[in-house]
Amino acid sequence: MPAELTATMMRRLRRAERKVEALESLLEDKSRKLYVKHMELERSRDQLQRILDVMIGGVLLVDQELRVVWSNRELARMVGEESAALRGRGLAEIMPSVVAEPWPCVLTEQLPLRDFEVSIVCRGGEPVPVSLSIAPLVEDPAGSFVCVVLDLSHRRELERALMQASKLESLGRLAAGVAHELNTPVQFVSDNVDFLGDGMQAVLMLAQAQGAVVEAGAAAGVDPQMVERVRALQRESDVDYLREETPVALEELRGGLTRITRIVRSISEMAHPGQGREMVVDVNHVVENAIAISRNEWKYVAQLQTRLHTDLPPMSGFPEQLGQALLNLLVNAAHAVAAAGRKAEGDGCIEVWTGREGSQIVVGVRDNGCGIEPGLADKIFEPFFTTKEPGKGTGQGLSIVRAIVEEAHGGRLELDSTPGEGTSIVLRFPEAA
Amino acid sequence: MKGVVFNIFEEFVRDSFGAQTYEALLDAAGVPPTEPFVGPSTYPDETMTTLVVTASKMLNTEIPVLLRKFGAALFYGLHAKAPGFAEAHHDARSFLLCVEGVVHMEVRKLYPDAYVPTFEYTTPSEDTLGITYRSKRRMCHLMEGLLDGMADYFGTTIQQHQTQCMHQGGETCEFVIQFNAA
Repeated sequence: MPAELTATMMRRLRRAERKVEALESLLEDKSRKLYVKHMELERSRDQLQRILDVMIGGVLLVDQELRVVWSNRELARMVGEESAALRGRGLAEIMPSVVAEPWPCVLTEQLPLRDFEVSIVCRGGEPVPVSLSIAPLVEDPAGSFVCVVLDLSHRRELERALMQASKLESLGRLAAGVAHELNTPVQFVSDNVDFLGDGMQAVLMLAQAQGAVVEAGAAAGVDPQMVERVRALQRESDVDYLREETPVALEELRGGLTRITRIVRSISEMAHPGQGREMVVDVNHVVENAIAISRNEWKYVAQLQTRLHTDLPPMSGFPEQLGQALLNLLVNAAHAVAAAGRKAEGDGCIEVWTGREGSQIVVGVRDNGCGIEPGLADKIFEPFFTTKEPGKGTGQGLSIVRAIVEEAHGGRLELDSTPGEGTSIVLRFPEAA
Repeated sequence: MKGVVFNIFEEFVRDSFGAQTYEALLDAAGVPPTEPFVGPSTYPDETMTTLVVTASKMLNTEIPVLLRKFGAALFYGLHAKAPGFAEAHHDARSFLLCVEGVVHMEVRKLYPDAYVPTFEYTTPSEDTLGITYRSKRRMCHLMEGLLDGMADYFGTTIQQHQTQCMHQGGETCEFVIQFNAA
């Protein structure tokens, strides 16, 4: 081989060796970068998976044949199956109505569809109402679609409860109006009862004097026929009986009217007392009002005992709100006593008490009703939670009580309950400064 | 400029003019003879310019002519590295129309530091294509060769001419390409 050619070959060989070295170095460098990118990708994928798994909404990926490619944990929960079991299933099996209506539109337009309400077929359960949004997966060669599914069950329950609450609010307003309208007739009925009472007393005194005059006349030789006619009238009118019973009847009338007046006043006070202004509150007065208004709830199921502290200091607060809180507690107590079957046994008991403990004013309501299961003790103060049958409770009573006590009055609410034995709820308020 | 272009240039010179000519070219251009060009690495544009100018003198060939010949070889050299781009098309026109949006885009993605020219297309008729070529390297003659190589690969005849050239004061080079020219 000529020397010149050899030299050329040697130079090419040397270049090739150096190129191999350079490529090896480049390969190592690229491998390291690839590893780093791979790890970043893994982390990112794991994070995405975790996000999808804890999402409150269900996420579903379907192919063009409308078969499930992937679903997150929440969607599997809604359907009541494992995610793996959903893979390959037709969308029509999970959401039958979807295929008929919105889907053809999505396929044709290739545009996202938002908040379409359908039902999910849940294994072994009622259909779950859901809100469905669908979007074509951008730049996906397989032409897949992403479905986001939000469970509407809880919202539906809230809507039902709100409707019920709204109805009750209207009834409350109506009751306040009726109470206001009753005020005037109750007032003149009371006045007239007093007037009639006074008049009756005068008439009876007159009748008594008349009797004496008749007897004196008879002794003095007045026409016996006339005397006998008056005596017959006296016997017919049963004046003695009237004299005996009229004061009792009047007393009962006044008692009934006093009770009506008190109920009407209590309802009016609870509805409009201070226009929402904070004022000095007589806690015992508020308690008595609440007891009067709730009488119809408890009188058939329990004996109500009160133990009201006679020297309670005034506290600053909102009397109408406190009245509302106590009314809720009393109604709940009555319902709990009834639920425990105490009405039949005749030993239902509700005790309401007030007192002072240190610098606190304390109000307690205790009953010997059905009590609260330990697992529900935390939930009963949540809005719209109720254990009562549909239509009987709004689930707002105790959440309102807690809001009134803790948020409006800076107080504290304590619950002590034993299933089958009863419940005691104690409200603690700071005294007025 | 990426090392792959230098490597294809080496092959072009060796295949066309012999291995010893390339070694002589390296010596004449002052390029270290034992330093290789590695495909994915980047080297100064000036090195390629020096090699082309020196080769033009050594081979007694005008630079535009040399670049056009190299361009045709460059098309096949690049096609060998990434055959999928051209194989996805049945004709030269459709391939050419996707160079800017696909080929150049992929090069930018794979090598963010790579500099590639930009193409703007006009389609005056079904068998005619206008391309506005922009590049700081002003290698429109290399572009001519690439078009020759492409036409050869697709087995078609094209007629190309520049209505404007950066080497003659134009801001861009304007190519008009007629396909299936008689």
